[in-house]
Amino acid sequence: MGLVSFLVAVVAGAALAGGVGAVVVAQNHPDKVVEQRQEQGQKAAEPEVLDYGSR
Amino acid sequence: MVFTPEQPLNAAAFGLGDALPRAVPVDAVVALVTQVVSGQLVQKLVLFAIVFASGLGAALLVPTDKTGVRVVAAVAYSWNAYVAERLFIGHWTLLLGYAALPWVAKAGLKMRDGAPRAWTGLVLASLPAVVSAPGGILALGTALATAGRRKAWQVVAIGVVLNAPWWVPSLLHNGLSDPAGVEAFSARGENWGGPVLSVLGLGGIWNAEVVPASRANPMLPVITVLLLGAAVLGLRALSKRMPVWPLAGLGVLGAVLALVAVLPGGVPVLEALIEHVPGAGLLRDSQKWVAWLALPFAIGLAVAVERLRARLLMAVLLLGLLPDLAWGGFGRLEPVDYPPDWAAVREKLVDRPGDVAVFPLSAFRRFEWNDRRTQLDPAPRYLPGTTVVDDSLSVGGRIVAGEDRGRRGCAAAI
Repeated sequence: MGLVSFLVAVVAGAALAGGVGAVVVAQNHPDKVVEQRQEQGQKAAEPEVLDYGSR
Repeated sequence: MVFTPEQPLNAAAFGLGDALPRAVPVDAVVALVTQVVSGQLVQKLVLFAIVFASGLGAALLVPTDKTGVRVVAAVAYSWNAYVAERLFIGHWTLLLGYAALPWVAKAGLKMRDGAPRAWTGLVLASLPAVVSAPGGILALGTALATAGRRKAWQVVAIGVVLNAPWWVPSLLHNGLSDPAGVEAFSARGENWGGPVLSVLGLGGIWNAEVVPASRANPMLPVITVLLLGAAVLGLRALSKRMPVWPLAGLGVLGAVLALVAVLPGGVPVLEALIEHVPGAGLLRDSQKWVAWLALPFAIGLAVAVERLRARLLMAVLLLGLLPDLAWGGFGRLEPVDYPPDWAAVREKLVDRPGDVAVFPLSAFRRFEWNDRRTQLDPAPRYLPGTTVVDDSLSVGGRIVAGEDRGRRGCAAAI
């Protein structure tokens, strides 16, 4: 019983990780942003000094 | 995270250039190693070592005969927000130091026990950490906390010598930094728990762009408090087997340092320090010091679940709380090849006198071949000789001045 519940937990954890991960990829993949920009025909204006990051 | 096929071995790599020696001695180490093997291989080995050595070290630090307990410690230490955020921002040298901490702690405990020639173990364990200033300080703090007061002077002596490659060249500079960096690089709230619970959950890095989406999980602040509570209970049980309270105290110190800039009155104090005290710039981006909390948290949590039959569920929970670290952050981290143009430019510059300037002057670039991600300019590490760089940083459009002001003015004049 202990082994079965452990395996179920592992599978559930993996499924959760995969599911959430898939959503994250779909929403936030860096390539996605580039693709969207290309689809919209937008060309980003290049600032003189690039941001290291933003808060 | 920038690695190049063969990094140039120049004065800047040893901290003898005009800029404050930030990547010292790691630049020299990588430059020397890449004379023998490709930077690509070095990078893969480093990344593997970070994940593998941090987990294994934490697992071996727990005095237990139960593998499941060791697995929980390994997962808690190697799969958390700190590792994810510093990996995504590219601070691999800091993570190398982080991975060394459990091994440093083991060596420190051996010194405390008076094991013969234990100091050699401490030196070896500290080597990956001392390639950067923050890593070296993290290792020194951990060694002091584990070796005990009676061995403190020995530990300090070892720490001063091992960290000399960065603090000696630092003496050539005034060591003062722009106080604007205090707020720009202060800890950041990642969910409704604010910066305090974000940092206590080992996250809270200043840069929102590198924070995994799962850190916005609304349950996270509650789970963070529960896990920390469990870790404290675990440390109480563990204190009967090994001296963990100094390590826990160091963890509290790390969390306090990480939060100084968001506590009332913290900003003016830090700004004054950074503006007037040489080297105080190390307190900028202070979230990095919460690394000290990760180790007591991991081993405490592991011991807390020791009596549970389904203790591995804790490891599954920890993995499930941060699913978006898997597979290189699901696409955030991927190897990118340099276009052939880079090698062609490098060939043209070999054996040419003088420094190289790359315009427009910016420490960061966006290239089509890297999906226009913001990245550190690879030129200083790819091109031969010395490349002039602007070491000022822009955070959300706000400029934090670099330390190499004379050089920046000179380059602007060109």
